[in-house]
Amino acid sequence: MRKQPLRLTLLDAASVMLLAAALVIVFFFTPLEETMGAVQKVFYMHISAAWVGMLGFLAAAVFGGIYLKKREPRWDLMSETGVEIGLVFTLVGIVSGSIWAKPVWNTWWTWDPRLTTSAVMVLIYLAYQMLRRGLDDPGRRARYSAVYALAGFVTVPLTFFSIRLFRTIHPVVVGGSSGMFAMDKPMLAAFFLCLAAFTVLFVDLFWHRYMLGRQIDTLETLEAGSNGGS
Amino acid sequence: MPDTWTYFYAGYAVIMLSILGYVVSLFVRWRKVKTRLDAARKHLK
Repeated sequence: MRKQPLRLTLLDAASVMLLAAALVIVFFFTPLEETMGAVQKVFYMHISAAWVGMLGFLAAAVFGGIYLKKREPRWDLMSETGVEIGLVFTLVGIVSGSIWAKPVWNTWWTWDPRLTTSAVMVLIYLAYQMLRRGLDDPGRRARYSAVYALAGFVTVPLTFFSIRLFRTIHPVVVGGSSGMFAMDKPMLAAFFLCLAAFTVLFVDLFWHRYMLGRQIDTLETLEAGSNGGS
Repeated sequence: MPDTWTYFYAGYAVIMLSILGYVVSLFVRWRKVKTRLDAARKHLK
């Protein structure tokens, strides 16, 4: 069994420290927003989770494209990894957004363009997981999954731009009518710290999930060889 | 200013527990694969 690389251990430590620092800043050093109160603070990590979700789907599309060009299994594994992490964080973004919405919009859920496109995006990528499990031949599975990851990526810019293209009640925090970032300086600092913490965490989790995938591939090869030989 | 601390705590509990849950799932899967890998390698020797 290979030992974990030192760089990955350092990345683990950086992820934990950055996340802890982000929590301390959000809990104790960010101001309370006047109209929403404490629940506004959920937004720092809600946006960060949504960002990592989209980053995962972007990685899946990019690595899927590279797989189609090079036909090397490692790119397929990276694409699969991107989708898995993207799904986890998009769901975190949706649930935390729902908790924020209850006191602010007086409802857990509404069929607003941003919420609807986010739900569609999650369903599209859940279907990706089903597609992978439905194909036994590794080459065919990788090829179909890569094409699906590229096609499914259409939902990501659609979700991102939905609050800018359609009439919506969802706030536009980045690039809205009140400036690039409609926030006070302490809020902005906390926001960027959370974004940085989640981005480092994404790289860390991606690396761990990729290593796990490599081990699963080794296991399947060994077991196939063992079954073939007996 | 409205009192929305309960929602704030609930939001962060969901976010942190989800991340922790995913990390635990990675660890559990790794342990399972490691056990099977060790067994497969032993079988091949």
